[in-house]
Amino acid sequence: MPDQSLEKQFQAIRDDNVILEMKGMLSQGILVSFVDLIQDILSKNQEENALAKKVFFIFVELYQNILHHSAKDISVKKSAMSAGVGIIQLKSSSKFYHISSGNLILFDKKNNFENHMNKINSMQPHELKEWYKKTIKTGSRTNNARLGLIDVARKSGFPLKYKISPYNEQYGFLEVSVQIQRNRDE
Amino acid sequence: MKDLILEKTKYTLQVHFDTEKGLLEMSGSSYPENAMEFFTPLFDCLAEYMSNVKKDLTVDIRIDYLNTSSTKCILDLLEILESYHSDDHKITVNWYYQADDEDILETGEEMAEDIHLPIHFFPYER
Repeated sequence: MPDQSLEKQFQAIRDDNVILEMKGMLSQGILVSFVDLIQDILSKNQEENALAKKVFFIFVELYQNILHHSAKDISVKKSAMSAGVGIIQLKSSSKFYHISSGNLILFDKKNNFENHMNKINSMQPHELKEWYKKTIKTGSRTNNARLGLIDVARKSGFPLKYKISPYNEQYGFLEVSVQIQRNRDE
Repeated sequence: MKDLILEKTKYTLQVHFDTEKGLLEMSGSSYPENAMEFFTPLFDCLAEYMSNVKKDLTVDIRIDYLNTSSTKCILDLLEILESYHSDDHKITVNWYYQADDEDILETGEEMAEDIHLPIHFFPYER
């Protein structure tokens, strides 16, 4: 008997115009393949280079945030492979591309994360630019999640949507969703 | 002093530091898992060049794509060059960008706003 949940997921892919979705362990190697595929698809969609680069940029930042910062359960910690655990999705509508990511986050980090996102969403483009420049100058070379999200907001030009749902006592499930406008002149 | 050559991959830059000519060339896309690890040999080579060779240096940057942590490393590189730039050894930075790639141009221009180095921008067609 077919797995009903997979069938539902497949139908959702068709209904929501999902271009690409990956769930589970995400690694740098898989990202490289995704990037090739995204470039190929956007090129076939005849998107301008500037738009394709924005989609590519935001996808890579959200993906690498999962890679570096997703909270991991024990089974993954035991694995030798460097990977994050989560969900990443790229879908399209007539006016936008939508990139979403989902992963676990420690509840301890919830408030800091929310403050950071709310600050990003409260700022005008010129304020975001100044904050970005200040943060990149003073930040470390190894932990750039916060800087990355500021730049994602700048490239998107829209507020970053996010939600943290209770998962268990220790973790919440974090969803981040970013949109990029197609055909800016229309 | 030895040259530094790092071959291009899909997610790391081609780097050629010709220490005899005083020419550092970087091209391609950069979104490695650990940008610092990739850029460390370049920072080391640059430090040796500045303390031993002490000549002028031209830096040609021709980048398709940078993730945030790679952008941070390029900015740090330019800050190091800024501290080295003087009457005795001049630094010239040439930033090449695809003519329709406004984001990479903007990335370079924002760095140039705060870095006191001659940074020249040149568009090229794909």
